[in-house]
Amino acid sequence: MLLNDTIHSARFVTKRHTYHIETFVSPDVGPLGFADADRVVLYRSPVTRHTGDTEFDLDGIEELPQVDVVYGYQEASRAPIDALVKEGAKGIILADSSPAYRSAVLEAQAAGVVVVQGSRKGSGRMVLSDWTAARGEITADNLHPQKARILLRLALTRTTDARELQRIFNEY
Amino acid sequence: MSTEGSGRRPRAGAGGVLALLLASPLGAQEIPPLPPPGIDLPRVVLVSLGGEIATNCETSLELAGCESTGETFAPSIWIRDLPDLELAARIATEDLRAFARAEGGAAPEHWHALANRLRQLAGDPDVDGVVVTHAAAGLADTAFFLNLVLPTRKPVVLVAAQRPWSAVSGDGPLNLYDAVRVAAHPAAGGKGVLVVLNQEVHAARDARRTSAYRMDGLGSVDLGLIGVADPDIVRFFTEPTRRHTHRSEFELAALPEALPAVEIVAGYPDAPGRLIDAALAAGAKGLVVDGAAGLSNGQLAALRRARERGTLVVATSATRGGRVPETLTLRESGIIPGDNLTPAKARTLLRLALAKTTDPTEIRRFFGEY
Repeated sequence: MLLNDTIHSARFVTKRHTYHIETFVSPDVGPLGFADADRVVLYRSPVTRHTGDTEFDLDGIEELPQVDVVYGYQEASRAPIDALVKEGAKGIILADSSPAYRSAVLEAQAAGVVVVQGSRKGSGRMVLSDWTAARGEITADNLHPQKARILLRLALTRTTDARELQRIFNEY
Repeated sequence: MSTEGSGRRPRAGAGGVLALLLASPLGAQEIPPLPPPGIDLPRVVLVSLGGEIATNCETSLELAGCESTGETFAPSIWIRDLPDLELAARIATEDLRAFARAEGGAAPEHWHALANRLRQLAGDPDVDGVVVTHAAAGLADTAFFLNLVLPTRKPVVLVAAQRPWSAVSGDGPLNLYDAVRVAAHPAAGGKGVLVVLNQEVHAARDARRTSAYRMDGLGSVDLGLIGVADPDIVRFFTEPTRRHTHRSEFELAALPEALPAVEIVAGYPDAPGRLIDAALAAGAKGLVVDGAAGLSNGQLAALRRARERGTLVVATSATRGGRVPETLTLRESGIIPGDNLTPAKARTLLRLALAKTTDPTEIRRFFGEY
């Protein structure tokens, strides 16, 4: 993705400012290169899977499964999760969490809804751990919730297995 | 990982950094299981060049180095103090503190010998990865030199600490542990020499120290980290595309004992040209001018004299971000843009370049490819 003379990987880029020229950044990893006045320079190549290397095939798929993002904050109620489950969502991305979510997430999972723990902090991975795995959680690596949503919609066209979904989040 | 419902395996003596002992009934996560210590673990050689990471001060509150520098400890102390290192790899140690400066880190006059020894280690079929401890100062420069001359695809990881090993909240133990994990990781190979600090993995070409003593002391300005040594896994996001290690054309065996002399000159208004004249009189074969846009008239005149004598001149940017663009002015004055390298790294590349050729076109190519 090219803006402001800077070449970013679609995997990492995000908008960081409402209107400044230098608005697109790739937190932590930085850009891949630059389209400078004298020449185009590349310094990095992404090693996450993409394009020619992807396992997702949209042939014959009319509509991707419904996945929505639930925003976590202090005192957040479980109502959004319950509403999405009722509405038939196939997946939920949590952008941070709330104490009220724990029971709602367990019920959502019991109803067959895949829940992925993401973060809205802007950088850093969601670290994998056995105690979150014990809660059936899948983690979104360092994907922003809105990108985790896209990946989960694609992933759900192939599998609902938690282990397989985690592999997808670890590879893309 | 394939076992149903397995988490990390409990193991004797594992504590501290690795205390993830809970079993996972649902098994949704893909955390690579740790094999029992010693069995089939990658083999990593831990090479000591001293540094804060190998220094015990008298009190734990000496955070920026000890009163008496240079009193580093032997590599066996790491294993004694941090036995968990052997959960990440089978460790052999090698004490190369003789190659270090008093302040720690490779002494440039020993770079060649250091590289030769590291090349031997990396060429050993019984070695999977190499970790080199270094003083935080000079870390990025030694890393870049090795990045240009070590013909290997195996992980070579440089590591340092911002605080002494003995410091309260010292970063040494975790940095060392992370460096060993990275060196033991199959994905770390073929990405050039790596630098690990503060749970981040940086490419040698772009890594710079960004603070003299804070924990967040390493960065790749303009770019970013290429991977992380997170508490759960080592993960790479990108890899460097510039030439390095196994793709480098700088042959260690072909290097002269002493590389051609190259000096760095800072460009600033009303700077005298005589520093440049003095560098040339002292035998400099090349010059790096830092801040080409800020050169004084005296410096520009001295550089013209230098160019007439055939001295190669490379310009770096004093802004510390962004490349030096190829402009008509630079081209006409025969000055080679130093891309986005720091002056010290541009100097290293120019010295290696001058050991091969004095052809400006060829040297210009090096600065575009490395």
